[in-house]
Amino acid sequence: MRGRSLSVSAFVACVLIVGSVGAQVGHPAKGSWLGYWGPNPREQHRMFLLLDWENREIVGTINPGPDAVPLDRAEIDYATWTLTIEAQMPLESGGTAPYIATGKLENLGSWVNRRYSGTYRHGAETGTFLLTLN
Amino acid sequence: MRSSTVAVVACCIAVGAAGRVAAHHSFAAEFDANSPIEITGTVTKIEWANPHTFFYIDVKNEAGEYENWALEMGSPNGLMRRGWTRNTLKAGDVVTITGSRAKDGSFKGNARSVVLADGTRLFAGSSQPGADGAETN
Repeated sequence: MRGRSLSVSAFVACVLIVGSVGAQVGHPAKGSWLGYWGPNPREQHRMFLLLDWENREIVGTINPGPDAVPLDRAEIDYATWTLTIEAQMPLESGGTAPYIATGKLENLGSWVNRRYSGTYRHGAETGTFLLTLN
Repeated sequence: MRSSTVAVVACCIAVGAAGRVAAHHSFAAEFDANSPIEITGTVTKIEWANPHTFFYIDVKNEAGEYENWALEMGSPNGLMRRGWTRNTLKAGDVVTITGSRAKDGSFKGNARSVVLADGTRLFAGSSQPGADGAETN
């Protein structure tokens, strides 16, 4: 009878755990990342980076919506969790230039404080960026 | 022994259900009906979940700074009955919402209606008593 009691308890526990497991959302980089990028603290631009995991590749868009810029490349070094993204971003002077950002994904164990920060080059401009998972 | 089995199972169910129950609350517990909001912003995330669906929008304030608002709507089932589908809102869509702000003054609100980029206005299944298209539960 004691064995049956344990079996029933284990079954109920498994059923409850399924709900928590279902909350997992796949690749750690997947999601909506919000933050700023710019050459100095006074000159900062808002960035909304939407990343997804499709066919074992990271794909995404910068600033989804009317001014969306699709990512041309997204590569991750899993040894250091360094993510590099590349896209053709508009220049204030007109036209576009390659935007290449390289940074580390941090706090991957956290669902509320996940960060992606590093440095970028946009045409001749360089600077830093900091995004957090929305 | 039978009673102990029942007790263990009941305990497991109570612990498992506690999280879901804590997520369900009355409108008045969290939102202020006397703090109406009407804000326009870009959708950054949508969470279809029970008991409340949430979506987040990036709003530029008068100072030019960005605020990311979390907006609560009704349950997924309730929204479906009001004409919503999983594709009604997408990241990047610009929407205008009316509703009520959280009592704690944070960038959080209870949405009463959502006007989509094409002008379509949908009720958000608000938990506010008496609100248009309110969700009754």
